[in-house]
Amino acid sequence: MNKLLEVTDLKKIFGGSVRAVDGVSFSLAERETLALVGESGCGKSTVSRLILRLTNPTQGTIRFEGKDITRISQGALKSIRREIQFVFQDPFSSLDPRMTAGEIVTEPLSVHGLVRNGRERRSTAERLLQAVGLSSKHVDNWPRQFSGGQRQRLGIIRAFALGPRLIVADEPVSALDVSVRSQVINILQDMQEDKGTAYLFISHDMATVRHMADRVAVMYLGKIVELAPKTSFFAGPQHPYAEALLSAVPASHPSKRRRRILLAGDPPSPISIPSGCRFHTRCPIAQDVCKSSEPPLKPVADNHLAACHFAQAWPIASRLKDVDAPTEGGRFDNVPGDLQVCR
Amino acid sequence: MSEPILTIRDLKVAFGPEKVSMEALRGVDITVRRGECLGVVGESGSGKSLTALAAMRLLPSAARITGGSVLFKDQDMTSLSRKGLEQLRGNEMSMIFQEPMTALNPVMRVGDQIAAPLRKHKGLSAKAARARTIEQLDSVGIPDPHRRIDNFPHEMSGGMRQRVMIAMALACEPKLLIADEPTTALDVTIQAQILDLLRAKQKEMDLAIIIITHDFGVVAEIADRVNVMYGGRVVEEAGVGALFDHTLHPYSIGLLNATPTIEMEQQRRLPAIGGAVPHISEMPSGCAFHPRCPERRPTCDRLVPNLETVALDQRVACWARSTADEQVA
Repeated sequence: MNKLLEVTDLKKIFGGSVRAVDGVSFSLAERETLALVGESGCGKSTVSRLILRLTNPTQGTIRFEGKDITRISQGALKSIRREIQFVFQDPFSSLDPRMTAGEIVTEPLSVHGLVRNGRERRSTAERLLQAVGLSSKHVDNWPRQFSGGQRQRLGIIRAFALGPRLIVADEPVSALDVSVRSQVINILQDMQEDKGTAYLFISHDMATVRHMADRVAVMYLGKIVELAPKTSFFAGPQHPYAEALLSAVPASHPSKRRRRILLAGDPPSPISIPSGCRFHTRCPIAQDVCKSSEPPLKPVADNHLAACHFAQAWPIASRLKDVDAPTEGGRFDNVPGDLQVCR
Repeated sequence: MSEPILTIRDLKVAFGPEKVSMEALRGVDITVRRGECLGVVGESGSGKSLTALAAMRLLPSAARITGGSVLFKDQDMTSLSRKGLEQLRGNEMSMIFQEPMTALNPVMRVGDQIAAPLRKHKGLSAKAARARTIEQLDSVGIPDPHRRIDNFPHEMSGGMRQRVMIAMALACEPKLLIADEPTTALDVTIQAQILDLLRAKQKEMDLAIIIITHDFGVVAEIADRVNVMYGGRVVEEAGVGALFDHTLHPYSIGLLNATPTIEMEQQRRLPAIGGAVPHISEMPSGCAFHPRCPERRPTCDRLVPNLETVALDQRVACWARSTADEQVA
């Protein structure tokens, strides 16, 4: 597969000390969906803003179709923006309230001079609205006249208007009601199938990721700690943080209430990133080496990378297999001492 | 079965002046028993949060109770005096909210906020209240409580603030805790910690919990029984096992199917419910779900279905599941 996007050692340091993105490398193939997952403050949204060139990286390179776009001029950026588009989380604040639905979805075309006159713009708008299941009668409606799900459709169709090769979608369905969320997920998948677009899909919701993604990258404190094809990842995450993240996902059925790997406390601040492995302060299997030496992101299986000194040697899933359900408060009675997680 | 702690019957709440008022709750029936965790599930606009606020008599000024009753033990909350309410709230029943930053006083140390109900309701001295507050912080898993007691809310993380909220709500050992989306603003690993904490407190204190959520995952994790709400009404009530295994209301079925799960067999398309949640100003006639319902019948847009008992621990409000004669109307 051809590499559409290649990001190498990307860093973004805010105010000289906040290491929001601290050396991130990954690539994205054509038509592929890569999910970037992690908790708030892990840097996933900053990565998306760097790729969109909404903010400049402190270090590292971003290549799109082989071309270095890390430091290109504003003028050159305009042509790149035909190829890389975005969908944001909040469909309420990301649409201009003073533009009609038709104007919103055709604005990218008009900015790039791709519609000749008002009539063409209007007929294009009607066609675009229909493509995401909205009525062409809505072309003159204002954003406030649409529901959240409908607004997010407008955001999606605007992103697709220029026929981009890559769409960066930052939590595109998390603000939506459950019954509407699945409609929008289906539209995203249909559009991808139809247009052959690649997605960088930023999300904190593992279930949606499982449904949408081809590959998964897990971020913790500004770094990717695991990067793997979806099936391989969900079959057996190799990094203890990824494992804990998956085990924290609520059960899908009351009979599946299960033991959890509870992480102690909260993630440290990106101002004072721990030495060695940045996860060692919360890691249930941390050893002395983890405090001093930072593990590189290295292959542990086919295309499966993890940044843990004990990725293969010490899969915690199997070590916890014989453990009973947690006692009250989520503590495990018969977990070996070094795995006992306290709050 | 243990005795009911809170019984809501045919509760109606409306917004706006009488002549042009819009009904947001249209006859809600909810019962929660001592020591059980009741999940109330619904999407935005279903009335789940409003039900909780009405039960606590904390409705915004634009809203008023227009009918029904809310019994806490044997006292009717809807007719209780201000003084009577003050004796109950924060003492025998308490509530926590989605965003602990906005629910805590930002210019007051967390210790003083937890001590306030202890001093007011239990009459503790400042010194005794401080000692109890430290115990309370420790019991909700806040490390280093002697130091944390003097923190301001902004000095704590979101998960820690929610623990403080829980410590405050449980300080006077209430019989009922209403938790309105307590984990929605939190990351998934922190959500897991908070749900574990609530579950532990439920057992330890024989506490009844009403957990309001839009997330079936939270329900599956913690609830004993579930009420599903739509359009200002309860449309299905069931034990948590029955709700997942023997779902009856077409809306509950649609919601469960539309929720992607982590174990899900890979499928290309997610089943979706067409349309959107109606706004209270344009609530459909009859069953509020009928315009979106795949099992719609001629009766559905004319008559409101009542909750009917269909199994030992399951009630549903749906004409397609009704045993009543549809031709009555």
